[in-house]
Amino acid sequence: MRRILSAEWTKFRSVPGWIRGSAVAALLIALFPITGLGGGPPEQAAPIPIGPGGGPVVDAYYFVHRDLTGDGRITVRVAGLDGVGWAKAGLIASGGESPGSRYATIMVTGGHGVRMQHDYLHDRAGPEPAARWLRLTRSGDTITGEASADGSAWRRIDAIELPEATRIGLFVAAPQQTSGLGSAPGVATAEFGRPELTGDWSGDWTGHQRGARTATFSGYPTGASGGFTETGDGFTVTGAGDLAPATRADLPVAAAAGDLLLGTFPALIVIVVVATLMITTEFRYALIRTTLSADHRRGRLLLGKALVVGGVTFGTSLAAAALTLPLWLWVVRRLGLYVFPAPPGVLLRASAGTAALLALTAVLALSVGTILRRSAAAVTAVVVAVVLPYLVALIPFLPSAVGQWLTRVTPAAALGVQQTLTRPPQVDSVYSVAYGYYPLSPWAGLAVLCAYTAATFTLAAFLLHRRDA
Amino acid sequence: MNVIRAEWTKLRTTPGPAWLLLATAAVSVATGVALSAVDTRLALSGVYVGQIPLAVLSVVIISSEYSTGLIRTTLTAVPSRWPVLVAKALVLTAAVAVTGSLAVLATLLITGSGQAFLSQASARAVFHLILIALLSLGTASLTRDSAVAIGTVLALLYLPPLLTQLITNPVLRRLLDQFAPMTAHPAILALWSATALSAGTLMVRRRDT
Repeated sequence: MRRILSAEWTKFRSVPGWIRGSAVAALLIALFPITGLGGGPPEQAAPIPIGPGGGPVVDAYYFVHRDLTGDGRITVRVAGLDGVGWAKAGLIASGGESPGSRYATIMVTGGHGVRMQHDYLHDRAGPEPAARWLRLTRSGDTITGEASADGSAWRRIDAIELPEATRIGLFVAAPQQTSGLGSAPGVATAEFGRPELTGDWSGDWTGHQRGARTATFSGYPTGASGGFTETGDGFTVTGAGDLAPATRADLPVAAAAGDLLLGTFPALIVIVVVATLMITTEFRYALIRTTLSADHRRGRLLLGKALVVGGVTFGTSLAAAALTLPLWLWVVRRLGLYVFPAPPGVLLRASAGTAALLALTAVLALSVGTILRRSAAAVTAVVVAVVLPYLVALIPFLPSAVGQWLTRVTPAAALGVQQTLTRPPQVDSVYSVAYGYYPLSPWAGLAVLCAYTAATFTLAAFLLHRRDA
Repeated sequence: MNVIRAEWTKLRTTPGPAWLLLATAAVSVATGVALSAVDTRLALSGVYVGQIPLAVLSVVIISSEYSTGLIRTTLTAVPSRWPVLVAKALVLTAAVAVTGSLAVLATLLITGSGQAFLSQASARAVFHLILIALLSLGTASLTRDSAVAIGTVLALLYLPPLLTQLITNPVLRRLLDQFAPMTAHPAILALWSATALSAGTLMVRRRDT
C-alpha cells in the first residue's frame, strides 16, 4: 500500500496543472469573499438589539405597566387571546428600557400553551397548558412565575434572578407570520381581567410600544396599530413584535458567518476537474496498463488515488478555510456589516466540514471518472450532483418543500456543514436554504455525501476490477 | 464545403453526440414541464438545465479530437486550420437549432401553449442554447482538455447566480446579472461566444497540435 501511495503521490505532484489546481482551489476559498465587498455594507437605519447572551434579539411588544418598589405580586386572568402560533399575552417584568435588556415573562400563547420565558433564549412550558390565570411574584431579587386553571390552585413554573426589574405589567406580542418563503407582520389582541396587585405600586397604568425603532421589529400590518383600552373589568391590549432571538428573516441585511465560505463553489469545480483527470488521464494515455502491470491489486490503486487526492484537498482546504474565515469575519465586521455571532467551535466545524466536503467530492469525482472513463461527462455529473440542487433550492419562487427535499437527499445536503445559524425552537420563522438554514444537522448532511461517495467508490472499484483496462 | 461535410460526418457517425442532443432536448422539456406546474411562464426555463448535456457535447466535439490524436489528421487535411473550427461551429449551430426548436415546441405543446411557439421567448430560448454551444466549443478549443473546458463552462454558467447571494450592493448585483452568461441578454451572450470562439480559433492557428 505504501508503494502505491508513493507512486500516486509522485504522479500527482509531477503534473504541474494538478498542483496549480489544488493551489488555486485553496486560494479561491481564501479570497472569494472579496467579491462581496464591492459595494460596502447596506444602509441600516435602526439599531440591532443585542440580548444578554450576545446574539441579536427581537425586543418589541405592547407594554402596559406600573412601577413596583420592593416585594410584590401581580395576578391577572387572560380571558381571551386573538392570535396564532407564538402570539403572546401575559405578564412581564422588564429589566430596563434599552433594547435587548433582560426580562422575565409568564404568558398564554396562541398555540403553545402557558409558558414562562426569560432573557430571549430560555423557554419553559407550564404544567397545565390550558391555564388562564397568571401570576408574577417578586421577593428580593427573584421573580417567580405561577399559573393556574381556576385562580385558586397555583403551580410554580420557574424562578429567575432579575434584580433590575422594577417596571412590571401586561404585554401582548405577535411575531411575523411566515407564508412560504416570505413573512408578514403579525398582530394579536388579548382581553385581560383586572390585575390584582399586592405591594407598593406607583404610577398609573401607561402603555407604549416597546422596541418600535429597532431593526428587528417588523411593525404592524397595514391598518393595525398597538394600544390598550380600560374596560369595565380589565384591559384590552393590541400588540405586535416578539421576545425571542432574531432569525435571518428578522434581520435580512445581516450576514451569517457561513456566507463567507462561498468560495467553496469555485474551489469545488477546480477540485472536481483535478480529481477526474487523475484517473481519466490514465485511460487517455493508456498509462493505466503500466500502472496495473506494476500492481495488479486494482482496488488498492483506486484507494491510493483517493487517499492522495482526498488528503491533499482536505489539507489545503482546511488551512485556507480555518485561517481566512476568522480574518474575513473581522474585516466584514470592521466594514460595518452585521454578522450573526458564531462561537469559535462552530467556525472550526464549518471550516473542517468544508474541507471534508471538498475531499469527499474529490473522491466522488475520482470514482465517477473511473466509472465513466470520460472527463467531460464525469466532471459534469459531479458538479451537477453537488451544486445544481443547491442552486435550485435558492430559487425563490419554487415551493420551499422542493428546496428542503433537495438539500436532504442529494449530495448537496453536505453544504449544510457550513451552517452557522441555529433554529430557536420557540420561534416560527423562514428557515430556508437561502437564509442559511438546512433541513439536516451539519454532520448528518455531510454523512449523506459520505454515503454517496462510498457507494460510487465501491462501484468504481468493482468496475475497475471487472473491466479490461 | 468539404470541411463542413467532414464535420457533419464526424457528428453523425459517433453515437455520443446523438445521445447528448437527445439528453439536451429531454432535460429541457422535462424541466420546463415540471417548472410550468409552478408557473406557466417558466415553461421555457428548462433550457437552463438542458444546456448542461449540450455543453458537454460542444466541448467533446473538439476536445475528443485532441485526446484521440485525430486532430493531427484533421489539420493535415485542412492546413489553414480556421475552416475546421468554422465548420464545427456551423454544424453544431444547425444541430442545436433543430434540437432546440423541437424541444421548445414539445414543451409548449405539452404545457398547452403551442400557439406561443412563434414568439420572441421561444426564439430567445433556442438562441440561448446555440450561443451556449458556441461558447463551450470556443472554450474547449482554447483549453484542448475536456475536463478543464467543461469545468470552465459550468463555472461561467452557474457561479454568478451563486455569487449574487453574497453581493449586497444592488448596482453590482444588477451588473452581474446583465453580464453573466446564464442571465444575460442574447446579445451579451453572443459577445461571450464570439470572444471564446475567436480566441479559440486564434490559438488553434498559432499552436502546435
